[in-house]
Amino acid sequence: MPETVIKISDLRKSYGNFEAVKGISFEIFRGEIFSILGHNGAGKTTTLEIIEGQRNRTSGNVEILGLDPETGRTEIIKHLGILPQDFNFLELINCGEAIDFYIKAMGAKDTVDGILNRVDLLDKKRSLIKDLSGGEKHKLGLGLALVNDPEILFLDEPTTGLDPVARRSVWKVIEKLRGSGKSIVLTTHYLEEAQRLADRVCIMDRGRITITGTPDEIIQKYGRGSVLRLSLDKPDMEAFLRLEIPYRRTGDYVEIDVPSMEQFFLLIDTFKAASITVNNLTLTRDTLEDIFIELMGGIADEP
Amino acid sequence: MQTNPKRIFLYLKLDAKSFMRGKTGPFFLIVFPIMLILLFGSIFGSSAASSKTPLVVQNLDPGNVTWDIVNNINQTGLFSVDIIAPNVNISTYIARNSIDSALQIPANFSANFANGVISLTYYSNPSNQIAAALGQTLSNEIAQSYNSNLTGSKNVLLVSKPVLEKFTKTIDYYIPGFIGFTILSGVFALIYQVPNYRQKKIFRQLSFVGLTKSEWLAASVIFFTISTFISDIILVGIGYSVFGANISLTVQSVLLSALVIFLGMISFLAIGLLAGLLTKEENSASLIGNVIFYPLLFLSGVFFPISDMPAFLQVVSEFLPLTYFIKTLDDLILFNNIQATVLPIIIMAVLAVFLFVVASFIATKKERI
Repeated sequence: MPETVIKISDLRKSYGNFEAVKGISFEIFRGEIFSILGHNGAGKTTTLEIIEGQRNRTSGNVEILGLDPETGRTEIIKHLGILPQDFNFLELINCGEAIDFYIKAMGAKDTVDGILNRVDLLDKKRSLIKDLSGGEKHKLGLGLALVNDPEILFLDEPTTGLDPVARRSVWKVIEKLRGSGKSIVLTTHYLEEAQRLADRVCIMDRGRITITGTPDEIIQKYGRGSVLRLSLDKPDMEAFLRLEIPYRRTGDYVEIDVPSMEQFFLLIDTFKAASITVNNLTLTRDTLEDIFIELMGGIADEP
Repeated sequence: MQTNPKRIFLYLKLDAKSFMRGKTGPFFLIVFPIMLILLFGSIFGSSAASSKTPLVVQNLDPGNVTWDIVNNINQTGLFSVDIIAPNVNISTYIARNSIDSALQIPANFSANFANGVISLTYYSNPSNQIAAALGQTLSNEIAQSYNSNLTGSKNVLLVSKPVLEKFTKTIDYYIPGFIGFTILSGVFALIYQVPNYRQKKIFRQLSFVGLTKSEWLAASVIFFTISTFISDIILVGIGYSVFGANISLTVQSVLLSALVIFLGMISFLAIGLLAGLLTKEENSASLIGNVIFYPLLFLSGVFFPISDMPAFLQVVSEFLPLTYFIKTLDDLILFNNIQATVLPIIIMAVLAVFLFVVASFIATKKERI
């Protein structure tokens, strides 16, 4: 049984009459990357800030490393690394100075070069924060979050607003942390990011958790399986129609749902037996994003 | 969480680096005080003798008596007299030479006096208040002097002297005002920083290393105290060494001046902090800062003596805290009148503590600063 590092039970948070978090419960285990997904305003950041002890909850229980963040923040903060959404720091300080400040203020043992190296930013040691690109700034934030060698790392939308290259560069740094024994809590509204990085995912919608599981579990449970996509010449199309296989037309293409690989091979054998020549054949699987869009009844927010 | 001096020092170092790398910080800390004292020192730093008001005199009267009057005007020490010939058109001369004050003694001045009527023409630029005021004084003095000559009394001379014998330079009077200016600048110390740090979530970022709001505030107070003293040392140093300002540099006056500067800095920093806490955006904070700054700057005696203001503005200035800081610095720096400063310093200390406690309480108790 994996060790639980964060345990949330029936957590609620209201701002006046508006209830931002509506009684959510989940657990996060040591060493896993746990991703909280949701549209903007789903309650992800509020949940994260309550766990970090930055906000007080309205009701419910929160335990982090066995302590309540409202009363034990001083102790808890020593074991946390936090990269907030839209990371910012004093703009006229260089990267080396910012990390040096963190190391000395936290009494950490790491070195400035060691931290910069871990986030691939060693060449920017003397660059002022104001001169960093978006991706470099996020990597610096990640570096600062790693200074105290935290047991739990909170990454709140670490790649929002970054171009695809910068986003992948941040992913590379996060992937390097996998297997380090650190638990990573990642909030994002990039489904691709969660699918690539997270061991487990929970989807939040309007303050509630709608789904929890590994990306594979979610795709298997809520997805349509795989989709076979192909195009057919006119005589082959007529032969295909005679087979009475359920299909959809998408432009010039035919799409067939394939719930399992056995079914896929069976279909290929059927085409062969009917002497049907297929063109442009592709087999695609549902992504977390497809499931998210399907379940949320909308399109995931993009910045 | 306990206050940690190490964290305060580390943040202070970081903040100072950031401040010194900014464009405005070093300018207001070092360049601006130098500019201020050099500018005002150059304008007003010279002795009273060379700060005479230029006066053009045209004597159209043929008699010798009127030349005695011109000599008397010269001896007042108030004017630098420039005599123009009777055939020059005085109006054209004034216009061509941008003259602010001119006196014309008419051709029939002596003759008319016998009939009991004297008439002088004084030309003055209404926008130059000194020229206008001196013209009035001059006319009265001439009339009195001329009358005394005719009646055989002693000649009356107008003699100008500073209020205290040792002061011969106007710059002496400006130094306490300039120090008041640096104290007042404390309003801007945190007024931008608070909404800026709040908007960019830098307070939150700092809290991750355990830096509390009280520690941030302590570091800010230390930083702005040091920077205000640096500005004031530059101001007084240049005033003293370059322009020879006559200021009292006894141990008591220096220490008490430092205390007044510190109390003033705390008071205005707290006012700025309160304004910063109450505003959401930097732009609004800038507006509030200027609304606080400029009336205090112009009505508290920083640049203009309060006694030169209209009566109702003098009443307003009585209600402005900066007025008392400058008056107390006047007593300490100019007059070395230590006794007169005891009560004002106690009141300033109470004001500073009150403002700082209120501002820091609000700052530290807010859930998210």
